Amino acid sequence: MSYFNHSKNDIEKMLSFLGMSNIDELFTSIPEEIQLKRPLKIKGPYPESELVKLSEEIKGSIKTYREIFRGAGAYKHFIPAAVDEITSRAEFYTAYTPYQPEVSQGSLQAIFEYQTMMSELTGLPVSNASMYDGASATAESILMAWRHNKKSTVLISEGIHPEYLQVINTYIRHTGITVHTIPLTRGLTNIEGLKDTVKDDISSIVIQSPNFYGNIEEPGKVKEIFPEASLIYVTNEALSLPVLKKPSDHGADICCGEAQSLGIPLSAGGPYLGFITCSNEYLHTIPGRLVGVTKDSNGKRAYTMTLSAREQHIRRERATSNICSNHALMAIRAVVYMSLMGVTGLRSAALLSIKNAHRLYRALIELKNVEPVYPNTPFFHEFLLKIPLDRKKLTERLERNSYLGPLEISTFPYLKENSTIKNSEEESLYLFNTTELNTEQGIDYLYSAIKESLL
Amino acid sequence: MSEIKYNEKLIFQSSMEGRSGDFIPNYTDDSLIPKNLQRESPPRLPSVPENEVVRHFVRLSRLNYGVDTGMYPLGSCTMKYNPKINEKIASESNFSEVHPYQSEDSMQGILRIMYELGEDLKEISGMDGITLHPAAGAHGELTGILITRAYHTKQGNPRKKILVPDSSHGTNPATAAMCGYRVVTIPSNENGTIDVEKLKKNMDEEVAALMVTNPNTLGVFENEIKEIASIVHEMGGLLYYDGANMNAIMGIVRPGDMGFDMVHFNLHKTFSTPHGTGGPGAGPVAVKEKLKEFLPYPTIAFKDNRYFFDYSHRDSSIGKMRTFYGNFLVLLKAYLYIRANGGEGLKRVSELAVLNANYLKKKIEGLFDLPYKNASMHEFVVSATNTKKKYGIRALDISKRILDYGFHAPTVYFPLIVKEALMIEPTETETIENLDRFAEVLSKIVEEAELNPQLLHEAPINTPIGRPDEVTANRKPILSAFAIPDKEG
Repeated sequence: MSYFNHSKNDIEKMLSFLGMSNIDELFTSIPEEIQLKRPLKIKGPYPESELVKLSEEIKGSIKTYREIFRGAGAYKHFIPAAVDEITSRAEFYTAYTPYQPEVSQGSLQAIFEYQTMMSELTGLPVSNASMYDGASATAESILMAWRHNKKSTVLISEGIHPEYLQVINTYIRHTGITVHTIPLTRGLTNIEGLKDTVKDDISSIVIQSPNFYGNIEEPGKVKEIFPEASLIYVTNEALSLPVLKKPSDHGADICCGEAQSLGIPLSAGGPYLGFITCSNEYLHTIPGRLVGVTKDSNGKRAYTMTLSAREQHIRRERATSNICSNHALMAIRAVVYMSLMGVTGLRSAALLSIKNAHRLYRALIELKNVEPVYPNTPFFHEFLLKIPLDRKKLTERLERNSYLGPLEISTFPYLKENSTIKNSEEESLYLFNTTELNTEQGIDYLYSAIKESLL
Repeated sequence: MSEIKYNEKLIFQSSMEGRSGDFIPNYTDDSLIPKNLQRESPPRLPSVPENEVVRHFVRLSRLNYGVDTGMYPLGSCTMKYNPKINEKIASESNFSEVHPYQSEDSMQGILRIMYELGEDLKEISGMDGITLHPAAGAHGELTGILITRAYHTKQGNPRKKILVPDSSHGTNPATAAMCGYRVVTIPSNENGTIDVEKLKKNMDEEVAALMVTNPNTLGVFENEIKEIASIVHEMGGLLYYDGANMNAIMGIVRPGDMGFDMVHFNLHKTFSTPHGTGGPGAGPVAVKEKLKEFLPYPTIAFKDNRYFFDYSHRDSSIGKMRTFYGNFLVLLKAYLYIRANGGEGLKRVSELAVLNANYLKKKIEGLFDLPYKNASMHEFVVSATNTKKKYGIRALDISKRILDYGFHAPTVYFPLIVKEALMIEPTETETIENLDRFAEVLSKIVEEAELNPQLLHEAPINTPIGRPDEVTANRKPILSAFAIPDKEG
C-alpha cells in the first residue's frame, strides 16, 4: 500500500522537465561509495487488507481486561464517545503546530480553553499548551524553579512516582542541581523533619499528591518552613484536582504532572498528557507553547502563540527548554473531555473512584493477616496493603475472569532509587487502585480471589 | 479555506448551570475525604450539553487547515498524508486499553510491534541499538546528547562543547545547552554546506559531538560527510544525525554508512504519523554498538520466542526519559506505515519526495532569488529578497497571501542563514497537479507584488481572521479566558 499517486507517465514527464532520464540522477550529490547498494531488509509492502490481517494476528497476543485494579500513574477512567469523535477530525489531527494563526484558530482557541481549564483546576494563572508526560513535566518544572531562583538544591518527597524520580535524575544530571529525598512517615512526606535543614540553597521542594501510595499530602506546610523556595505540587491523577484542596491554596508556585485521566486511554503507556501551570512570577521561565488572546488586523478577537522568545526556535541555546512538538492533540482530548463532563462529571468520576477504593480497602483489611501499610492516613483512590499471598493462585483466578489485579511491588522494576519501600518488605506489598469503572461484582470477585489465595 | 469567517464564542460563554450530560452516574458524597483536605470552591468549568460541545469543537475544527484540507508544504516538517487505516487500527481497544504495568505475557503483541519497529528503524538508519522512548524529535535529541555525555564520561572526560552548523534547527543548540554543553556554531560555506576548514579549526578534544541534519535544512546533501565524520572521529568526538530530513534518503543512503554514531527519527515526519496540531509525535533514537549500553531502560528484546523488557544495561544507562516505554499508539502507526510500504516502497517514498521537490523548485526558481545553486533533495529554500527590494514584499507577506489561495504556507525565515527564506517541502504525497497549481499561485503572487503590493501587505483576507497583533499578545499576555478584560467579553 503506497500513499503517493505518481503514474509512470507522471514520473517520466517530471524527469524530462528536469532534463533527467533516470530517477537516480536526483541523487548524484550523494557520494557513490556511501549509497546503499542493496534493498532495505524490511517486510512488506502489504496492501491495506493485509495490514488489517496483521493487526488482527498481533491483537491475538494482547490481553485487555474487563476490569482493572491497577493504577500507579495510569488510570482507566470513562471516556465519552464524543472525545474520540472530535479528536478524530482531520482538521485537528492532521495540522501542524499553529505557526500560521490565520488558518489555525481552531487549534489555538481549543488550546486556550485547555489552558483556562488547567488554570482553574490548579488555581494557578499560567498554563502551557502541554508537555510530553507527567514525569518530564515534573523534571522541567524543577528546571523552571532553578532558572527562577538560581539555587541548586531540590528536595523531593519519596512519595513521588518512582519513575518520575528517575526521569528527574536523568534530566537534571548535568545542571549542577543536587537532589535530596524527603522520607515518608505514615505514608506522608515528613515535612516536620525538615525544620533543621539548611535553607539557603533550596531551589524547590517537590511533593506529589495523592502520592505514589495514594495518600493525600498537605504540601502547604512546606511553605511555612521554606517560604523562599519554590513549591512544586505534582499530581499524576488530574481527577484529584476538582476534589482536593487547590494546589494554589497550598501555596504552590508550580503545579505539574500527568493529565492522562482527562480523556486519554491507557494506550500501553502513551501518548499521555504532561501539564505545567504556574504563578505569574514564573511566566518567563515556563517551557513550551503558550496561547494568548489578541486582535487581528480588523480588530476581531484572535488567538496566537505568544511569548515565543522563550523558545528554542527563537532563542536557540538560551531557550527555556528544547521542547518543540508537545502533546497538543492530547490537550484537545482533555479540553473536550472536561467540556463534556463538566464539574459535576469530573467530581462524580473522582468521588466514585474514591468510594470504590474505600469499599475495597475496608473489606480487605478485615481479612486475617492483611495489614494496611499506612493505617489512618487519608487516601484518594489508591492504597497499599501487606498481604501474604499465593501469588500464582491469585493471578490464575483473576486472569481466568479477565481482571487485572493490584500492582505487586516486588515485581515493580522502578523502586531501586526509592528508599521508602525496603527490599525486605517488598515481598507481599500490593498497590490497589479503583476508578468509577470498577463494579461491585468486580470488587467482590477481587475480594474473594484474595481471600482464597491467602497463605 | 475561504468563506469560513465566524466568531466562535469561548466554551465558557455557553455555560448554563445544570446542563452537563450524565456520562457516568451522578455522585456527590465527598464524606470519605477529610474536609480540610478538600477544595473550597469548584473550578469554573463550563456546563454545556453534549451536542453543543460537539458543535463548538466541530466549528473550531473548521477554522483549521490540515494535510487533509490541502497541500501543506511546510519545510522541515514533512507534512505528508496520514493513512486512515493507521488511525483506525490505533483506536482499537486491544491497543488503547492496555495498562502499561500489565505483565509481559499479557502484552506480547505490544512488545512485538515495538521490537519489530525498532529492528526496521535500525535497518533504515544502519544502527545497532534503539530506544523508542522519546516523545518527540527534541526529546530524541536530548536522549542522544545525554548518551553522548555518558559515553565521554566513561572515556574519562565528558567534554565541554557541542558543534552545530549555522543552518541547524533551534532544538539542536537548545538541547546541547540542557545537557550542560557550550554551543559552538560552525558557519556554512558558499554551497550552504558545512565549511570543512572551519570545522577543522573548531574541532578539538573538548568537542563532544557535531550535530548534523543531512540533507541539511537547505535541502542540500552534505556531500563531504565522510570527511566531516573522520575529522570528528579523529578527535574522539561523536557524530549526531538529526533525522528531521530522513524523508530524502530512505533506502538510498544510511546515517550509519555516512559515519554517524547515533540518529533520532521523527516518526511524525518521515513515517506518516499525524502531527496532531503540535504532537504527540515520537522521536526514537538509534545508536552504534559502542553506545548501546547508555540507552534508556528498558529496551525491548526477543529471545526463545518471547518478547521482554530488557533492564540489563540499567547501571550504565543514562536513565529514564519519561514514564513507561514510548508513545505506543504513535509507534504503532509508524509500524503499520513501514509494513504498508516495505523496503522497496520506502525507497520509492524518498525518490518521489525528492522528485516532487526538484520539480517544484524548477517551476518556481525564476520567481525568487536562489541563495544556493546546488542540487536539492526533498526540500528547497528560496529567498524573497528580490520582491522585498523591488516591491517591499517580504517572505511573510508572500506566505500570508499563499493562505488566501487555499494552500498552507511554507516555513518562513528559516534557516536563519537565508534572508527572507521560504522553505518548501511538498512531500511525495502531492500529485503533479497540486505542484503545478502551487507554482501558479506563487507566480500570481509575485505578479501581485508588482501590481498591487498593498493587497499582499493586507493578506490574508480569505481566512477566518486577518493577521493577529502579536506585539500586543506579547506585551500583555492573556493566557486564560478568565483573564480577558470584561469589556472584551
